[in-house]
Amino acid sequence: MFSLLARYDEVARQNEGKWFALSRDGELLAVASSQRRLWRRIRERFGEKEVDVVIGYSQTKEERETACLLVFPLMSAV
Amino acid sequence: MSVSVSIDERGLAWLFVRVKGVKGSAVYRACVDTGATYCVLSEVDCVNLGLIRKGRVVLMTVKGEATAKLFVAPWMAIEGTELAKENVEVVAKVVPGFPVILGMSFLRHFNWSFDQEKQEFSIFKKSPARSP
Repeated sequence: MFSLLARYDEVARQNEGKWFALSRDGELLAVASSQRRLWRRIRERFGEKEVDVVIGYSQTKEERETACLLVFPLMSAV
Repeated sequence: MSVSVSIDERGLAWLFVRVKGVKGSAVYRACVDTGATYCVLSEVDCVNLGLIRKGRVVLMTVKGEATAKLFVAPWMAIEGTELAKENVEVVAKVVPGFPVILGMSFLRHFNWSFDQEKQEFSIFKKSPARSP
């Protein structure tokens, strides 16, 4: 059976600092330097058809070694 | 039904999450953030998946106040599980290095815990209410 985690990690190892898209069965569909470029390539392939993809990003060594403070609390809706 | 993942060397938990919109669905490796009111996904992803626009929100971040577009994902789930929720609020923001932040707009519909001994984050369905 296709292991999403194993395939994701394999593609991530080969594409540090890049965004990538995989098909549902693990085929590498596109690699790009930004999300916008990645979606352009996905749309070139699928047109306006409904998509079903895995989208990943491979963190750089510097990003992996940076500690995180991720907090996005709501103040108010406008 | 539960899912457990080991936290990484930075203390972060990552889960594969499927986000479904009206134009398609995508699976992301999402970072769990119990301090985030909303889930976070970039605007280009929100638009390409066909998430529904809901308005704007004001956010307090470590860099101060910011406004962002708010979308609703018609369906979101931990990939390969029954841990799913309809109409999840998602803020459109780019967080460099993080494709998706899994915030409380999704997490509050489930039980979750951290096992200090195993260094694992677990998420599971809420137990049905017990009769008195």
